[in-house]
Amino acid sequence: MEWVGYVWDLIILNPLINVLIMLSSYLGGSFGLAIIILTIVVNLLMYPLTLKQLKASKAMQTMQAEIAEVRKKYAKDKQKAAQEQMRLMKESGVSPAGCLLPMLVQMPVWIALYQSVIRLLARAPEAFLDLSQRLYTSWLSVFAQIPLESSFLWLDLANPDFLLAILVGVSMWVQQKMTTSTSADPQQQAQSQMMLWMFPLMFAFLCTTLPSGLAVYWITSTVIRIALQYYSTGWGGLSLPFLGGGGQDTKVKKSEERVPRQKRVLTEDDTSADIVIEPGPAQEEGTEYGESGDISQDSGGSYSKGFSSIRRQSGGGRSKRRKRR
Amino acid sequence: MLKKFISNPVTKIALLLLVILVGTAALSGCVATRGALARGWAGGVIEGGILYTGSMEGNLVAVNITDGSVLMSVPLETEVTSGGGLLGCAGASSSAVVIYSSPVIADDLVCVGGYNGQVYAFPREEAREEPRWVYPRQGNVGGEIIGGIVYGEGKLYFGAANGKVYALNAADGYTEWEYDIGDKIWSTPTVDVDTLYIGSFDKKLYALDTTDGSKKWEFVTEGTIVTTPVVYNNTVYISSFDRNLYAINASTGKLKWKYLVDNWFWAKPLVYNNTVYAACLDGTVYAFDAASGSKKVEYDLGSPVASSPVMVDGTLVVVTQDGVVYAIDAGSLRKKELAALEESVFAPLVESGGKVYIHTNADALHEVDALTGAKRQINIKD
Repeated sequence: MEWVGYVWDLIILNPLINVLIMLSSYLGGSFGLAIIILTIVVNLLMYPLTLKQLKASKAMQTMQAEIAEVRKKYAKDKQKAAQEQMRLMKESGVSPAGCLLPMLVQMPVWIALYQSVIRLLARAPEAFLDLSQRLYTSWLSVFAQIPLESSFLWLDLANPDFLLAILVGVSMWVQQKMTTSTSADPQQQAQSQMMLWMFPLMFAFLCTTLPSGLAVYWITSTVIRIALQYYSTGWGGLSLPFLGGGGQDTKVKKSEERVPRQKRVLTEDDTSADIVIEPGPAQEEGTEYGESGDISQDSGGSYSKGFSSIRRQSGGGRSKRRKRR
Repeated sequence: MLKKFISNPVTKIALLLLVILVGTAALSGCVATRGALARGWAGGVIEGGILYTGSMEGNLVAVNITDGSVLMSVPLETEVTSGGGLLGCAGASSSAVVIYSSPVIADDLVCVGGYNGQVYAFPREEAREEPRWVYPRQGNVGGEIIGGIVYGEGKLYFGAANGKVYALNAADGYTEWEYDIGDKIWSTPTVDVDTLYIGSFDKKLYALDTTDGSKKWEFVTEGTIVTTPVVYNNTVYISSFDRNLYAINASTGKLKWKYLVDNWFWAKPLVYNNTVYAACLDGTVYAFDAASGSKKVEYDLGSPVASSPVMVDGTLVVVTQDGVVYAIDAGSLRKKELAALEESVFAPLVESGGKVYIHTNADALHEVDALTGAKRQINIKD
């Protein structure tokens, strides 16, 4: 397994360390600015993946009610339930990998950035000896830049900072809130709430124990993602007075209007033997997704077909959403 | 509800990713900080058949080099310090004081600086655990002491990471003078007649008057200086993080020559018969003409050298970071492998009676015969 570490160092970690040093050099010796600039560049490069992930996450969330019904229906046949879930996702153009893959691709970058920051801000003499073997000989000035300046704004980037940890938590909460859609299902709503608080709190806690250079990376990255998310799906679930009530903002509505209606109409022919998918009354009424306030579809038309309800073929039992209508 | 929450596929994916992320970050952090943790690498000093060194357990150790017996092993401090954070990976709390500074003999005292910013002076003849004095009397100097301490004419000289150079009265441990450079000092000073030479993180080499600490001159390089200067024939040899080895006029502070290599010189250069031997972290030992700076020869050792070499009867003994000991004959310029310790080495070497003593990162003391390569291991751990 030693070769894995070698390859990791060679193609990811060491280049990142050298780039950070050079960036710092060009930015007047400010390592904090170097972290921010590199984070922006990395996030922009990964924008297509991030966008894909945002859309996939959103689509997955909106499908939860349908998935729950499938599970309920096939509670005693898990294999069938899984098959039906997959079919639902396939028909909707949603894949769990759509959420997972972009994050998996981004993770090595996060980890490499973390390792770079840790190594570049280390203070023990042993760390310098380790660093000396990672610097590019052909980049003449990288050696002379060590040690990097660890002070940035009010921070010592090598030490944790409580205020920054709070900012990381708040920004992550905002981002999480934007991806969280309101649901009529109280259980799903509770789950969303737990997700909404768990991640920000966990990362805020981590930031109280890690070098604040890393928190600078997290906060920059989160702010960029908030911006990208706003650009692609609007404020989403974020509801603040100064956002005009937030929630389902105009960007989403506009994007929905752009989706040709005929693409979202299902016919009986599209259904399987077990589940019948009907055109919902919302479509009959000229709206796309049933109840107002439950709009959580993304703008990119990930759903090639809309599902307003799922009816059990045998019992004719309708979904809760349907019943409330 | 928690069960249902966890069974949700989105939650599962998110939790999985979070666990992977935090786990990997923690592990990689441990790996990263393992190299970054201060563990110490004290060299030693030999006087009257006794070798004094600082162990990685934080003890000042005295070893009889004839029979390998440990005469004294005194912890520098017993107060429990705090451990690391969640991902700090500092491990268990430890009372040990990390020691990078090689001990120095000052008449009847053996003195050593600690990473905790204190200097300890123990009487050599009495096997007792109480130091005669500790500097400062309360607290610490305000920065780590990483460089060594030098002794001359009743004074102890050292630099600290608080940016100050200190001269102490060796007898009582009180300040004679101090000079504030303003940036970290890891370099061990060198005293030649009435001048002290020391490098700093501010990229400068300073020449200070040993009587009152006044500055005689300063020389600016393009990188941090952490190495120990060497004075030979009115020339100061010093290396910098700009990867140059500099030769500077000791009287005027003017550059004589400089030589650029591929990595940092961490080890202290050594001058012998008008030749400067400089071991580099690029895995090469360079030999330069001391007057002109022209390269005479270079030896590729295949592994970085952080440990300062020693000259034993015309043979340069060098140990690489991965523990291979080489002998380079200064006359024939031939190189041969003496021994392989199979332990990494950062500490400077010590020589006595044709034997070289090597303190490894495994906290073992090895004796290697500079002629035959015969090895003996001395246990210095409690």
